[in-house]
Amino acid sequence: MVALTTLIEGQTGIIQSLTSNLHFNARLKALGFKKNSLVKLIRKAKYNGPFHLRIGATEIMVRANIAEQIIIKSLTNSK
Amino acid sequence: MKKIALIGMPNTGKSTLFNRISGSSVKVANWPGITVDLYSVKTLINGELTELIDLPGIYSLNGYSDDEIVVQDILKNNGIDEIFFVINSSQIDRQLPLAIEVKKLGFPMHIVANMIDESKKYGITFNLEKMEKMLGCPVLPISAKYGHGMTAFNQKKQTQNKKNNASSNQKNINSEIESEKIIDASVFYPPTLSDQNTSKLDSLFLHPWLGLPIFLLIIFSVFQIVFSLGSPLQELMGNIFSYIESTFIIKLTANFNPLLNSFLIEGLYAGISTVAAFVPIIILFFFVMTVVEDSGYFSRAAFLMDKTMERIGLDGRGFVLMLMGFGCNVPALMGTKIMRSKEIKFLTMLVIPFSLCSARLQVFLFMIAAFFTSFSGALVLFALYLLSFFTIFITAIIFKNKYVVNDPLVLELPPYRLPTLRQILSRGWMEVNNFLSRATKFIVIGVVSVWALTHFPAGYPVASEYTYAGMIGTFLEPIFGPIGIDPLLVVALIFGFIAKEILIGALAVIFGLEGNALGAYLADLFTNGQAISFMIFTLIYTPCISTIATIKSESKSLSLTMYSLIWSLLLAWVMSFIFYQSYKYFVY
Repeated sequence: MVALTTLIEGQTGIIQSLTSNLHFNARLKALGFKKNSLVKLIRKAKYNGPFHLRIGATEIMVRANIAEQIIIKSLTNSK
Repeated sequence: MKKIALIGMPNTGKSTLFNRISGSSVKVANWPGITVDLYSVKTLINGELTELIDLPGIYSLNGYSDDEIVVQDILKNNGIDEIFFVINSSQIDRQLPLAIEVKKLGFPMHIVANMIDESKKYGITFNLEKMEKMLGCPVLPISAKYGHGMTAFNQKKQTQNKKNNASSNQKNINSEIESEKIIDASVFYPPTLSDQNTSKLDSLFLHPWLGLPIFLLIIFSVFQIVFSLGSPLQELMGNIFSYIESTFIIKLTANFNPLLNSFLIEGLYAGISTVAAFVPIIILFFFVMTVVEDSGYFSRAAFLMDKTMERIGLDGRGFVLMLMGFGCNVPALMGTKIMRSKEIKFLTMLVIPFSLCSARLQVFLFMIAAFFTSFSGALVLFALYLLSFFTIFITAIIFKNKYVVNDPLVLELPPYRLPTLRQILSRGWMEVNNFLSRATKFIVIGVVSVWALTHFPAGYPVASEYTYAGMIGTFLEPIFGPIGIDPLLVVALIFGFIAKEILIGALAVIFGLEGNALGAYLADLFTNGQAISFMIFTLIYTPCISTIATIKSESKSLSLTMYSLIWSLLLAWVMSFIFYQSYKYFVY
């Protein structure tokens, strides 16, 4: 189990847990970050900038500090 | 009267639906959570006069964000009779749990599956009968944007929807599990779910190297469109107002006492024309802004600029608005509506007024032409632009600890969409209405006050040292002396409070000269150092009454308005002081 930040562009992971505070976990859940959901890293902005993710039919940008708090199980490269 | 509330997550098209049903112009944008004020309208639904209320988008029923608290409060205390729960049908899997939570509250409810055109494009299909049966409430598939399904929507909402007495049994349902059951049984997804066009456009617009130049090019074009069309329209508006003044008003007031005459024309009427001058710019700005926002590009721009802005406590959206502020601060401030967290919105509102707007540019061009050669003039102008960015950054850094954002930024990047003409027009119309209804009084009072300061006590030349404005100028000499600004120029700065473009006109009144003659006279009277110090002060101090009025009306916070006013005056003085004293030290 690793943080979402370890994904490489194009890779997909399975969400395991959220380690942010409760209020924000609820927000992430509502956006689709639930246990066992697939999350794909579409792109990272340069210089540790935000992450562009796809989860279900929703595309989202999250800042790196939030991505660090999303724990996933990495799947092997699935472009 | 019956009250129906529109509830849903951000970016589900609630406002578009509200707009459709009510026929009124409510702001709609392809941006999560666009409704800031609560919009409500009285309309006939099923032959009954009903108040329809558009609530802000929420992610959960028990969240702590400002919007979520507003919705909780309204549902608890405002006698809502019925709910239309709006979902983005492509995202039904993650939005249905909230719908089930809301339904547990016991209100009669319709689920409105909006953006059905998009889910069709994705290849998602629904078994509506089954879904309705499992949910226990009607489901209405529509596209509010294109008006698809609205006839069925109108018929269906007539079927009596009985108060759903949530049994204790129902209340204990786990909405997540229940939602999964319903989705499994009634929603069918294609094997791969992606919007190829959006991916292609994103790989261009969000390209690691090309993304930024493209962004700057788009912003530049927006600027060109707004201001190349806006300036002639603004001029036309000015001409219309002076035509009315010279052909009607002057004749009407000709027999009045001269003071009353002056009050009516140079105070009241000037105030009203100041307000009117903003109308073309605001309409155009929001026409273009609607395209930028509704197309989904705005979120991409925010993505590109987010890292840079995060360092100074702002976010990518703030950068876009700040750049818009270089055209005109007023619509840029109105654009902060898209920010849902109060702290980030306030911080952004504090920095926007430091953007060197086109009105200030006019003043600088005049002064530079009078004092400098074209080469050194270009350098001075460039330095003023740099200073504008510098003051933005320093203000953000100083105030970011006061406005700490505790709502972490998570933004949806919606698929690219083409806004309809209807959306564009209604947005422009609504924003102008907003501006006129909220800012007019404030601006007119401001203009009249400046008129009073420069015309009283009566019997002296306008704006001379014997008037109140002149007395203020003399009184403030110990403060403005060290920054090289003469009492007469202080009077001009007082005028500049109305609108920066008036500054030159004010100098003309004060020195009794115009155009090149005025420029030459000023160049004789003051040193280059004084001229630059005056421009620095003009750049940084309170932009204009309209900006202040907009900060007040958009933030509804008197303290923020005061901070903006006092901080900009203080910073203007400090910057001019540093410049002028070093100039004196090094040049003389």
